[in-house]
Amino acid sequence: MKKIAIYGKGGIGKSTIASALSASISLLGYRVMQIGCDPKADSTINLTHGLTVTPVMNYLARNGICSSLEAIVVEGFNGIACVETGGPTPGLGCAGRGIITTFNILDDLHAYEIYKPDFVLYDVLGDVVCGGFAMPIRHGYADEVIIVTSGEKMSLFAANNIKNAIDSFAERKYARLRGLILNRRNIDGEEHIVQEFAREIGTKVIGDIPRDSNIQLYEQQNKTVVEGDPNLDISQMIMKIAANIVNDAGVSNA
Amino acid sequence: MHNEPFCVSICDLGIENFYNRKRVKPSGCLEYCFPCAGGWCIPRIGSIVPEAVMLLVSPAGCGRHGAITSIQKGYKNRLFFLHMSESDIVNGQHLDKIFAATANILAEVDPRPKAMMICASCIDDLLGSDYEAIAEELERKHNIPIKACHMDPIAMEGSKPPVRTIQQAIYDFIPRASKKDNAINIIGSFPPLDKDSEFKKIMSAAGIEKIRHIAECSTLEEFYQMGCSSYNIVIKPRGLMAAEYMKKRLDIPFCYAPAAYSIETINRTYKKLEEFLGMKLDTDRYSEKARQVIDRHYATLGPLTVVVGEIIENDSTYELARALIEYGFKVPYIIANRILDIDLEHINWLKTHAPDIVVFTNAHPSMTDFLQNNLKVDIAIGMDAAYFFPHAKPIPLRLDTQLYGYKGIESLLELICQAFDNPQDIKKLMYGLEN
Repeated sequence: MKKIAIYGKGGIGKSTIASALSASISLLGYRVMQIGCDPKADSTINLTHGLTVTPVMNYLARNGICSSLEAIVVEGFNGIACVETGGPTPGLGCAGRGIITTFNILDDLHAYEIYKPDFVLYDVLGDVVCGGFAMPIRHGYADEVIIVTSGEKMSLFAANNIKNAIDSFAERKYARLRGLILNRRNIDGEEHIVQEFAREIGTKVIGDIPRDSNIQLYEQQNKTVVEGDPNLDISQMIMKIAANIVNDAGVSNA
Repeated sequence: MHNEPFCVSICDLGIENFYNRKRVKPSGCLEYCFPCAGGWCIPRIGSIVPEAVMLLVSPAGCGRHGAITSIQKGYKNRLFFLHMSESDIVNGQHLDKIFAATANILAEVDPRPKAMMICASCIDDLLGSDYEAIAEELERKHNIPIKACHMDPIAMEGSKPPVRTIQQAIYDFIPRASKKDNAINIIGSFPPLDKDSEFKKIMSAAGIEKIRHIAECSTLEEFYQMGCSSYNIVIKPRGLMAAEYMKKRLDIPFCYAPAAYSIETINRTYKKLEEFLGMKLDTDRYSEKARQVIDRHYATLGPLTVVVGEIIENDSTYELARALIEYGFKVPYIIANRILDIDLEHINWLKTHAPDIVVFTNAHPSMTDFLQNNLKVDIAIGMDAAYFFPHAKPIPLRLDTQLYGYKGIESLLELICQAFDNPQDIKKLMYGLEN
């Protein structure tokens, strides 16, 4: 099982890319689980064709305990197991703690043993802002981190912050940085900027995704672009990134 | 005018759609902390690891009550405190301070501790601080075993309450042994088995060479020998998590064989142990003797009325209530808050055989006025029962002793007789003034 956490500045396209990667990996014949770690609970919306995934925190708020995986896991496109942590109303509670609680519940309910995913993608809100949001990169969870960034200054600032967090835990068995995925915003010299940034922080760009209106087109239909039309250039690019991730992972899809 | 105490019928416990299947007290109301609460707190449990010290990282309030208990119970020289400020909580700086604090303790304490526990509070649970990773780093730095544990009452009603996780942390010190011997570990209790229990004789007669318990280990090396045992016997439900962990990590299988007072339950438990160990256990004469002791005491004592509380050493109020009724006594009242799955068998028995039992909970706010109800019974077993029924003869049956097996029945009945011959003062018991 390979577990990958996806971080990046808020609004940079993490959920869009995470869902597209999940769809691609599943089309390559692997079992995938995607866990959205965001109070907005919108990570897997493009994988479930509009089916509601009850966020774990919302379920707990209503029922007190969660003793059934069926209540919190929805099988979406191509059998991808979709989970959302959810979280509190904005301005209340602690979303980071919500991630910890969700992970504990998934462990207690043996989610990984039951769904047996070959790949688990953790789609994590924005930045590593506290202990809870670092949970996906802890020992026992993600093996690798992929940071989604553009060439914009604030996006790179956030990426650098995330890299610092990973480095600060270097002596622990935490996840290592796999690389950057450039989600283009079409600013001048974007590719060079991001390549240079990758070199500075000691990593590489493992994917370069151009702006493409087909992504939004299929998002309106509650689909990833990979599901919408796998033959599009953009879909093929994403599937190639996924294939590289899969090849390097060494996970069998037997 | 006082509040009527909240209570339920025994027939209403442990059923689906009961407002809270795991607790008697309904959710959504205030929690009452009655005067006899406490005793074996997390730092005290951690102190049973021999030659080890603990660093408690917490706000001042948690540290204060931990310090007071450590003074009362005699382990204050093995407990250290790192207090967290508000700034620490926001910045996570206290986590960096743990490294300096640990270095300071290991440099200053003489003799140098051979092991250490770093204890996190609820605050760090909420913050998601990774104490396990910190402990691993400290281990590498200082070359002694260092484990993380959690004093987090906030997790008490979850699947990993602190009283279970601390035991997993304690037994995590034990390294994997290359060779096993024909010995048993007793897991789950804080004191060792009562020396008069027939358990040791039965096991010895069956060929078991040694029975190990952490409280009987005076050195870390001796404690490590528990890793050589071939079997774990878990006598309290709080030890189950540790036993499951030891099965995975140390390859020591376990059998849950709870401390009990009912002859039928004890008979079944020994039968279960026979199957588990693959050995014939000679229990008949002890079982017969216990039956005779019950009959003899009942003839003297008559149909006593008893209230059974929750703060008792076998951790199963309902099992003890059942046993007392089987002896011939009457149990009109139970004081309990927790309902574990393993309690359901006894709750169902009580529903059939004693459906009139009224169950109070020691945690409901209405219990603040309970004493005004002036309910009367002959005997109160458990510190909470003794507090709420001050006219009854108290039998603390504290967690500081571990009765087990048929001899436990005899010991309990002797305690009941002693309670009449030499009644104790509940206030002195509560405040540790009995000596």
